[in-house]
Amino acid sequence: MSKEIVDLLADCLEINDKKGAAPLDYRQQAGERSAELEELVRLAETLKASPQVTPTAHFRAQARRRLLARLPERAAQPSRLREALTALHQLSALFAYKRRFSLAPLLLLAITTVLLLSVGVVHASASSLPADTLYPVKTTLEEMQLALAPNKIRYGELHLKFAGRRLEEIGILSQYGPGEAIPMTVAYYVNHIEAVQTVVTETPGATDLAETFNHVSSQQEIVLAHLQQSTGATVGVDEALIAVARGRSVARGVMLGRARQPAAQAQLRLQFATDRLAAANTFAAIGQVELADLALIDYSLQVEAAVYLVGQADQDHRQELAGLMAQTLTNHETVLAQVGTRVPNHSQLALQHAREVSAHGRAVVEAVKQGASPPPRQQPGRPENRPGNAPANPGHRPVTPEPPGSRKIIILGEA
Amino acid sequence: MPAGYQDMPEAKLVTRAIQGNKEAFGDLYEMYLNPIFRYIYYRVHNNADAEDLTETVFLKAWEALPAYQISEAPFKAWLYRIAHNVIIDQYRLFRYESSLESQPFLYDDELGPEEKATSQENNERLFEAFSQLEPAYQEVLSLRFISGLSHAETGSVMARSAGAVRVLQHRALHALRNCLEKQTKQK
Repeated sequence: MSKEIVDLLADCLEINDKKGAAPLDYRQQAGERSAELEELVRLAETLKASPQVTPTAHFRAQARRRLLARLPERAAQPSRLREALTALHQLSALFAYKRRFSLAPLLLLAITTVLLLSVGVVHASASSLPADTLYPVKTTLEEMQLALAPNKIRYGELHLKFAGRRLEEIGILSQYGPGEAIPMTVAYYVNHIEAVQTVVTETPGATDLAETFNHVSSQQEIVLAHLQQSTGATVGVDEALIAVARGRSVARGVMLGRARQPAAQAQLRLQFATDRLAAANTFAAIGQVELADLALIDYSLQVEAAVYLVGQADQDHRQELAGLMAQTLTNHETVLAQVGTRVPNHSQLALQHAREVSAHGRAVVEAVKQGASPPPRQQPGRPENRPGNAPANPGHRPVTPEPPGSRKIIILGEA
Repeated sequence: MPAGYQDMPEAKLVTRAIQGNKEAFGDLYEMYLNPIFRYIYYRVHNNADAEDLTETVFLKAWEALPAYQISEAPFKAWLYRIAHNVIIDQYRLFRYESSLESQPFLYDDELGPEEKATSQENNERLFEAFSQLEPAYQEVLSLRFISGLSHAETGSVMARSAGAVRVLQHRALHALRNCLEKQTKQK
């Protein structure tokens, strides 16, 4: 089987997954197999268009109540540390009792106990928190896993996994109010995120990891924003927010490098814009106005870049791309209106700018749809390639060059 | 749907559900009821079975939640993984056969009578071909195109790498195309 056709098909479907567009610049690359590629893509689209079946209305009406009634109560789980200590205490008592009678069985018991405790301690350490006695066991095990990682990508994946653990720990710790353990855990979290960023930056072929990193960092940003908002914790959380924003920026750079053509890059930019707009909406909903502003600024930059790339796309795909963008930007208008109801009046500058950029983008792509050439326009800001940031596209094919920019907007983590 | 549910990020709901909050789990249930039902329905081809199995998936998810770690896999992929296992268990008990009475590709109420007839005929052929594919092919097509999961998410559900999913997807679409061609020749 040709690896090339597998990847072309997957890339093509991936783009369609995101935007529902027809395949763009892959037909040429497929050469004599372009007919086959198109047929398979069409088949996939037919499957996607299969009717949206749902449970019956009767089932849906009762579903939640019935399920909740069937859920067994989950007893509060005793701390594994406490369990381990209790077991240790009981074994010690047994040992003291036996000492008075014989030594041989005691030796056997001691060996068994050490073995059992080793397993128990490792197991118990999994749920330990930074302030717990067993926490160093947990971090040592993680370090061992990192040291044994068979390659750089796995190493990066492990750091991303451990960053998720640190975030969970921060969440639990913050429920007990501020404490010294929180800033320390945030620092560990930032270290993990930076390590992933380094792997993504320096390892050719880490595109899947970059995609996951982009997705996870956006999710974690929202969790951090919630933590900050609900607990009022500021120590270190700002730093963590900057780290995830920077990581996301680097991951995007790698993703853009993988998308070889302007049309594909435009679609990615549009996807980033959609993600940022959703984040802005969430931030606005939870009262994180400043983060909402930053997300909106980022949104505007991504839309500007996407619109610019429409002009760079070859004639064959330009109209198709314009149609897709027009539809997406129209959808954005609804979300922007929703954000408008959530952002206070004194902080609507970024929103206003985002609306203008979106409206301008729509006007441009509508004109392109009618057959007009896209108007020349200054290069939009490129957050991924600003000075002071890690290289946006390390070890990968270069991103389609954009003309020199004039706008200077500071984005979280990209100043 | 409870008020405020749309504004609460999934991760927070999941964290609360892990801590034993049934209402948070109820919110997650409402979020994922339709997608999980759809995924199951296209595999078992029967509405009542799909409803029962959907509920089973969420009961199992509730039991397994204390062991779930947000950092291990996205909640959606984790849930689909449970659904995948539930379907496999169900396959061990019953062998699902396609039947004209329960073909999910048949219905589309938005079409006119003539279009509906053509669409039904095409869908019937597609479904027949789909149901002849080996389970792994059905699985990858179902997760990718009916449930809309990404390559990485599908890999997470099927315990394969994203690269392996890309290859499997290509083979599955090829197999489906071959089945459809075979049908045409037979007619």
